[in-house]
Amino acid sequence: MQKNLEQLAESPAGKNHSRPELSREKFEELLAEHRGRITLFLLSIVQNVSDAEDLCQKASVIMWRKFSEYDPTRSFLAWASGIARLEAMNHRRARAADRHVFQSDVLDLLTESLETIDQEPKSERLAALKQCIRALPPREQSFLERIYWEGASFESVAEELGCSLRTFYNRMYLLRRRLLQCVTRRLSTETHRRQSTL
Amino acid sequence: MEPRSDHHRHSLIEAALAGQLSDADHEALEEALRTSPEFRREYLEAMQLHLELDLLSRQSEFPANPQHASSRPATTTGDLSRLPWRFVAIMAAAAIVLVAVLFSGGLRTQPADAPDVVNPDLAQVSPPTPPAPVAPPAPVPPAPPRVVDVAGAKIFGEGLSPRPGQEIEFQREYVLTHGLLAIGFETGARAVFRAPSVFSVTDPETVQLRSGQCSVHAPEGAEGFQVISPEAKVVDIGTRFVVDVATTGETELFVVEGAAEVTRSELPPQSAVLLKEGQSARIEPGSMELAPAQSLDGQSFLDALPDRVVRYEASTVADGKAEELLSVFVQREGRIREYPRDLLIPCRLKHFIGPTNFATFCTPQGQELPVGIERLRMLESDWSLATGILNPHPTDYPDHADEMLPVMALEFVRPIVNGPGPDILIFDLQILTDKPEGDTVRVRPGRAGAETEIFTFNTWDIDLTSPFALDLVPHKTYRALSATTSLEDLIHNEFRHGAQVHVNAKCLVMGIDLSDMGYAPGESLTHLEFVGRQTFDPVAIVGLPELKAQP
Repeated sequence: MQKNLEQLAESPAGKNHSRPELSREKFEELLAEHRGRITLFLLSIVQNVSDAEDLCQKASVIMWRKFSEYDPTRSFLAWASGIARLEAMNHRRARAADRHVFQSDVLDLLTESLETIDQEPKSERLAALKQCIRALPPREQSFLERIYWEGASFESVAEELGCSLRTFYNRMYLLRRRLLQCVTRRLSTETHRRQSTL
Repeated sequence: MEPRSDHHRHSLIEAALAGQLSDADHEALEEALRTSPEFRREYLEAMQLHLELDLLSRQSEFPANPQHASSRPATTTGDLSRLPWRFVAIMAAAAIVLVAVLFSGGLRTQPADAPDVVNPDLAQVSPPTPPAPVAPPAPVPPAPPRVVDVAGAKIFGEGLSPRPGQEIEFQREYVLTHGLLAIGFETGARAVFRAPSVFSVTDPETVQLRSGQCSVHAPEGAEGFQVISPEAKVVDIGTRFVVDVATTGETELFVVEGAAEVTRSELPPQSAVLLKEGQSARIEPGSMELAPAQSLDGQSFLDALPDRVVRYEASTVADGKAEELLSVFVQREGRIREYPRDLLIPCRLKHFIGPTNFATFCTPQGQELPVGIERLRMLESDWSLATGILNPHPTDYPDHADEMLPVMALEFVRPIVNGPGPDILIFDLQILTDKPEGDTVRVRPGRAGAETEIFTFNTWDIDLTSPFALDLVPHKTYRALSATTSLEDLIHNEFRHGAQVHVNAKCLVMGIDLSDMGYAPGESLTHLEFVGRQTFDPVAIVGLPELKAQP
């Protein structure tokens, strides 16, 4: 990311505007604060983690290029999501067979909803998530291990279980809900613990 | 196109993460995102978790529970790597010494500079010891037959119903008191017993049938399978026949397909009579004659067990107790079909009455009784098997109980079309101290007040003795402080949970076939009433989709 930004400092946009270093620092600060949600937004459109991360990189470069156009009185997330969304739409349309592009009203609504998603510092969430996975029954653990650590498809895991894909989808939904509740509880407990020791 | 239900929407999120959205699914997902802020949030939270799990998988090993990790068998390399290195070194050194000794021909007893003198003792060459005779391998015992299917089967002396996969012991006598039991043999033969019957399996090709009825299918390779009754022996030549043995000793045989030989038990095999497809025989005690069968015909043969609810699947909590319904497996038209819950047709509660002091609601322990109209969802669309609306019952119990009085009425969100097998499923919370066979249900099709016939159902496809009745998460009940006389009362009255002693419970399932209520194939029902005193505790009442609409 740093290398890309330095390259763009010499871009036409960079040359035509005298941009103080503070501006770049400010951009990096804002990007760092919102990168998680931007990636999340991209994932909600493209539904593939690698694609979402690649697009986030590309979109970040464009955001930097257009940073002078950003109005600091507006939400950075809303502005950045607008740029990210264009990249995502272009990405999907570039795949000729891919007709699954959300309408713009739905994307607007998703952008609004993004603001309400809690984002605790990533390391704390991941630590909580690890603990919550450890607390799962072995069977549910095996679903996650097969899919995320071994790269198995949902279909193959459903087949191993001997159930239909749709039933497995419902199982995964319940498992995800349970993990989310567990992570939220752990983070909340940790926050209270920290506050009480202050 | 809107998603069919909340649960359909949830499965769309997973399908999106799996990269398996169809065009129709994508449309449905988009519509759900458009119309529901709550769903948008759920969608984004699921995406966030997906991202975090992906990140975790790249950063570290799978965070297994250390207790589970230690129970896994260690690999060979893992074992060696955990041994103390000094121990390994010593053992390796000892192995080297041993090899050296073996190659040098033994330890020398003479001084190194002594001339090589052949030890006269060692010079005597012992004759080679003949190799010890190798014992012949022990004969592999025949594989015991196993239960392959059950329909309400109960075996005398056994608390639980037999379970598919369960072994049938050789030489043991089984008394089948209820239902149907299908047994599969190593040779591929299959025998279906109808209660009441008494039988034993003497070897992989022989059933002793003391009384009752047995249908045998012996496909190619299983010819020679035989059924022996007190009076007769039947040997299958291939492929299908049915035998019935009365308690008074008469044996009847009907050959459905192929051929079979029959002979009186005390006569030699040469006296066997060959019967072909469509032919029958009756052997009476004391008679040497074979007569045509009187009670058996082709319709008596049981190949498949009847259409019914076979089992259901549920999500489980840490101790394995069932929490939410995931899917149900129903045999319809002879084929077992899986119905994920979002394909089931939910109902809406239209009427409910219940007496004072009766347990009227149940929830899992740790949850509270919802307020307001959310209470109705506990039966309508909540998939938890431990939440329900219980004991629809006349309000002035026990003084007067009108057996015709509607106590609960439902409307299904879509018409239930009469097809083969069950059409409506009732899921019931039954505590283990209640009747194992489940409670009686009295229903009347049609709208409230319709003067239609009342039907009584008391057979639960999955009852307390069924191995497929799952143990439920602990629950608690809420008593009515005053009579519940309407839906408004159900929604607004006070119901109190007292000091609850939790009694373990399981979920039973009843399948109601609309044909049993006089519906013709293809006719549909939308409204259903429960009348008179009901003591069952429904946690879900759903319809099955029309058979032709199966994906």
